[in-house]
Amino acid sequence: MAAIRPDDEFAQFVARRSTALLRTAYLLCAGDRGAAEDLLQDVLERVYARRGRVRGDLEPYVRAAMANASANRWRARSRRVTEAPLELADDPGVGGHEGTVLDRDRIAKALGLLPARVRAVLVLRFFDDLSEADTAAALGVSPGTVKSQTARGVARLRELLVEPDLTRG
Amino acid sequence: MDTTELARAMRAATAEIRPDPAFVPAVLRGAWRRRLRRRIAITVALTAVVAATGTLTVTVLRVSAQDGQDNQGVAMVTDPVYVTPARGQLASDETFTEAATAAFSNQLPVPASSRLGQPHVYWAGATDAGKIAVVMQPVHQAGEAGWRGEGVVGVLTGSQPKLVVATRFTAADLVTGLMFLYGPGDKTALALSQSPTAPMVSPNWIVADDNRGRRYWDPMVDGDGAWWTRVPDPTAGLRVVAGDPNSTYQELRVVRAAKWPADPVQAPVTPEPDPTPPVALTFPGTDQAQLEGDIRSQLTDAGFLDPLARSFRVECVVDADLPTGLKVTAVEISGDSPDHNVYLAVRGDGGNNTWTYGNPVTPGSHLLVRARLPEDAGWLLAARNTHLRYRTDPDQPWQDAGDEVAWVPAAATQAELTTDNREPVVENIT
Repeated sequence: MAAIRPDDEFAQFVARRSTALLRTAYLLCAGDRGAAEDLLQDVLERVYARRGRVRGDLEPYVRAAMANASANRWRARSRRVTEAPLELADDPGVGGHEGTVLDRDRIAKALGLLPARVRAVLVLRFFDDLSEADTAAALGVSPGTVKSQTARGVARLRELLVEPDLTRG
Repeated sequence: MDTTELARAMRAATAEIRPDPAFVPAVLRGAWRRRLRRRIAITVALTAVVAATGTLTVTVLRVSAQDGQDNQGVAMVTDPVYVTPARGQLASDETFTEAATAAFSNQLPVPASSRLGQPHVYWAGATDAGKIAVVMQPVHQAGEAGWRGEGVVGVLTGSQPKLVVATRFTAADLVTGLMFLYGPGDKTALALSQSPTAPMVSPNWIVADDNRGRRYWDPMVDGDGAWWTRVPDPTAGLRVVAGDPNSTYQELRVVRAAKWPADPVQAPVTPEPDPTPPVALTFPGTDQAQLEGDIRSQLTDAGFLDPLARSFRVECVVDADLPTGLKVTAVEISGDSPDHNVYLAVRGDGGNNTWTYGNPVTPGSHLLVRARLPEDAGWLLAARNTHLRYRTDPDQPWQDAGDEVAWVPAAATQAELTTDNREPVVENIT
């Protein structure tokens, strides 16, 4: 049996964790599937070159790198083709299977209306289940900033996702 | 939507997301290709450096060997902040900048063996408090051969410059920034920040008569490379941020001269972690940390808490489902100030809570909660390990109200608290 080389370990990591990481990237990119794949691929390629300097698990490092890279990507968004219309107020959702799909879409798009850092905080805290301290460390901010951005982000999402009462005329 | 629902929604939104079969091979191909390109680039760069020595932006500094300390050899200081020409309206005043660097060298309480190279003037200018110079120098720990990116930055004031405050920093600190407070009463503020917009200063969290608060923000004055302003009597509530304080921002670290030189090279201020609440919290279906986060978030949104508060602690939570159908929760909160306050939430469907101010917690009082309920629905009273009675007038008889938590009529004026077999204590409700 051949010995496992570092490249093999990295390949196994990519194969094993790509699905979970792509889901994080999908939320960080506010539901833009293509952008999420670009983001994840770019980060993994960069991490490959630095993996020898990463202490501990690779996955938290990759998640932090994606969060930071997505914030930078969003800053440059105005120079790119617009990815999706975001008129949530005109998209209240409907029932049934189609409605479920639309509602899922609304969550991702609502995240896209938040500032990139706030969105990254919410994704790391509530999708990746990082603690406040780990989120702060990943994003290079203080735990207080994570708390305040979490509060603001959740409040803003509430406003964006208010469901109109469809039972009323 | 609460955070549990948010997490659930995020999971549902991504449940069907899976990479294409070609994704993993594409990543591996790209990674190996990128590594190859990087190796070629490094080889080319090294060749160019050898061919053009002297154009490199890396500064090579020799460790000072003053005071007979071991010479640690040569350390590479690669950060441009130490070689970028000084900014500020006095940057070209050589007499002043040379006096500032000399004073920095003589007055900095850092062993010479820990300093690398020479002091560098980062900024020199004039504010309404006089001439100011910001001088920095890379440092390392005694016994270390390499440099870990740390430096000491100090503020010098006056025509005969005097070092008034200094702190340890890394160049990364300057991205968000540092703010020094110095001068009489520490009322003069000088900030170093690479933010494209002026840092915003708020002296304190101001609480109005309705117990809601807000911060008032003022921009600092642009001094071409540094920012300055005056602050009224700095308190623990002082905050300075880069960015928009109402949306996205980062806090600058504040360094006060009043605490210097007792602790001349202060470590970065990191908020203390919130201690574990001393009481069992009672909202169903949420863990304790989640609950604290929810309450803090909701009270902040309602305007009762400072979003930039350093500390927050839920001291006690009281849930009460009243016979009228009203569901209320009272929480005792402590924060940056020594005062404790009780806030009241009328619980609605789907986590929609309406918050009002309850009462200040009076030191020495046994009655922890004495909050007037909305719509004149009476009072919510709570006191630990007590039996409660109330009356509407000193001439009226006491009415039994139960143990620990009680709902009493709006006309109640006094409560009687009995703990075990001790003498009852009477406290005014209003």
